[in-house]
Amino acid sequence: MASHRFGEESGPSHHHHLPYALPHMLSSNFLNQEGSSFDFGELEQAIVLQGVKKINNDHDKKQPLIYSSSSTVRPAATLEMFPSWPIRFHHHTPVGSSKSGGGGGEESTDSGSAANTVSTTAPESPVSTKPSSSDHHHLQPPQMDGAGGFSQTHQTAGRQTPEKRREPGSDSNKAVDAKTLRRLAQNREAARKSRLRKKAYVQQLESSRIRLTQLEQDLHRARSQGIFLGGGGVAGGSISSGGAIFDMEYARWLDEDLRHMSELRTAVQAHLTDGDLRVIVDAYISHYDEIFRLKGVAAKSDVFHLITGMWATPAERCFLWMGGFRPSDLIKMLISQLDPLTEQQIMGIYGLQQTSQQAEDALSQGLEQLQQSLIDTIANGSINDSMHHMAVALGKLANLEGFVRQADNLRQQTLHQLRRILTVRQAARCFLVIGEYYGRLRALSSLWASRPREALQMADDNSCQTTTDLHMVQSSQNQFSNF
Amino acid sequence: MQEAILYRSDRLPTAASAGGSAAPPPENINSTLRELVAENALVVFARKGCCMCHVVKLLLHGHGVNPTIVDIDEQNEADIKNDLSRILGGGVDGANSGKSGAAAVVPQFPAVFMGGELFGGLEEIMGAHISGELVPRLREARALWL
Repeated sequence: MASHRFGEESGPSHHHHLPYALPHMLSSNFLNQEGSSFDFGELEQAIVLQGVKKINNDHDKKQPLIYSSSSTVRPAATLEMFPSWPIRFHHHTPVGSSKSGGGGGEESTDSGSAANTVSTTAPESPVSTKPSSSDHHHLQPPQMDGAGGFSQTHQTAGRQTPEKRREPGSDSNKAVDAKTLRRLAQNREAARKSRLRKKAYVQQLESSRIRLTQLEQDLHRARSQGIFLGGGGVAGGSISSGGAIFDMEYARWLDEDLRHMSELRTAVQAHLTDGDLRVIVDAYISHYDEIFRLKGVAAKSDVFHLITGMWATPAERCFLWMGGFRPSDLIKMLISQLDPLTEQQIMGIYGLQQTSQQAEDALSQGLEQLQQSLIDTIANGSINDSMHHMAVALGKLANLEGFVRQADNLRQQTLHQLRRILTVRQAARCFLVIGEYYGRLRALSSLWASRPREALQMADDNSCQTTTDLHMVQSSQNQFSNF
Repeated sequence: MQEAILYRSDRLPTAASAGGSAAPPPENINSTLRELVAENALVVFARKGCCMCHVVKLLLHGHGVNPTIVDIDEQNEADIKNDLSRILGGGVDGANSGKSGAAAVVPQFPAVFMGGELFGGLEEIMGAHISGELVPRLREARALWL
């Protein structure tokens, strides 16, 4: 719904958008329901100007006139708008927290009649629940000061509080009418303009967001495809979207991973039976089988996307081997984290480290041979023979898919073997360690990306910053050491 | 020491060969290959210059075994595939006519034969290597003596 969206967008401290959001929310929520001829212009301009007043305090004189005029011009208007909302002068929903209400309170100190207060604040009450609490708190204090407690004003709405209200122009009804009508029109205009402005801004935001995601996708494809096409050969839409699809699936897999991790964590802490734990551990293995399957599919459509690691975070990319993690590195990391192990298990783990290392070396050498062969093919094409050589080169490139598949197969086999060597409980802790490790590696990427860049002058600040970051990483390491 | 047998038609005994026909009669190919597979504990069929095949060789050498490597040319590839699948189909053509193509397994290269049977490709070798099954199987097939 539009109102929800606006609420979300304006939530995080976009204070001056909120007043603009309110009239729109009102119109989308209530006007349709009403279907009456009630003119929101007055209501909106009142609310708009309340918000505007927070920004610039120029509208003091206008508001009281509006309120009084709204009561004189359309005494029953507010009643029409909220038939279910009891307009009782002596009763007010304890709004207290609403910025708009608070604004109304402050403004309404200027107007002379309780009716005005009620008529303006009543409709604001339902609205006041919509703005985010952050905005409440921000705008609440000033209002409270000015109104001497808005809720008080509300609660005692039955009483007129002339001493809190200032009505320079409302002494005589005739003067009020003339000036009021003019101001009314001006305010209506202002409200209309602000509504249009807000609408334009939101539309601009939406289109920029769409453009941004499109740019990101294009960049993605261009990067992965540009290596062998010489960069300039980005053929726009004809590039396979296999990479983009895989990225989406990988993101989903990461979310799933978090879920599995928390399940594992609670399972380990809850001291479940081995049988129950086994189910959870096996589910996690299937989860990893799934990503290897997805990578296999992606390798068919866009192997370069996988090999260059554009689907992974920069820090992970740093350690990338054939489109993924290096199994022997994982085993080495685990050896230090997996105490206590039986002697047989220790031998098994070291054996696994050795065999995975051998397999990695064999695959790496095979890839080197492919690269060398490719270099020869590309370098030795004569002018006459170039197409033939290109065809041969393409054929050789096709082998890359095989290498990535074999590397993923190695990773998968390594994880399965790990599961076989360890007991169920050890395996659960082991997978927690693995998940935690890669979570930190990804977090490291984010921290690195957001580190302050002012090099020279801010060098001290930089070191402070990284120290803080290190503390963050170390604090989570303390949990880690519990294993 | 490893021998690389180059699969060339002129090396095969031609019992009743036609004139200039490059392809020897099927039964002969079959028997040669059959002998090859049966008599050698470890046979690897590999395309020439194939990098995947190179990986298989490296892994096996790492275990100290000396497989019999059959280098395959582009021209022979299809024939050999047919022959191997016929061998794997489990018998002479006549006996298999009932099974038609359902039982025929077309091996992908590199193809590893251990103890006369198809063990698999690089994926299977890798899996067995990691799980620790490879060494026992090699010993079983008498490819490994220690």
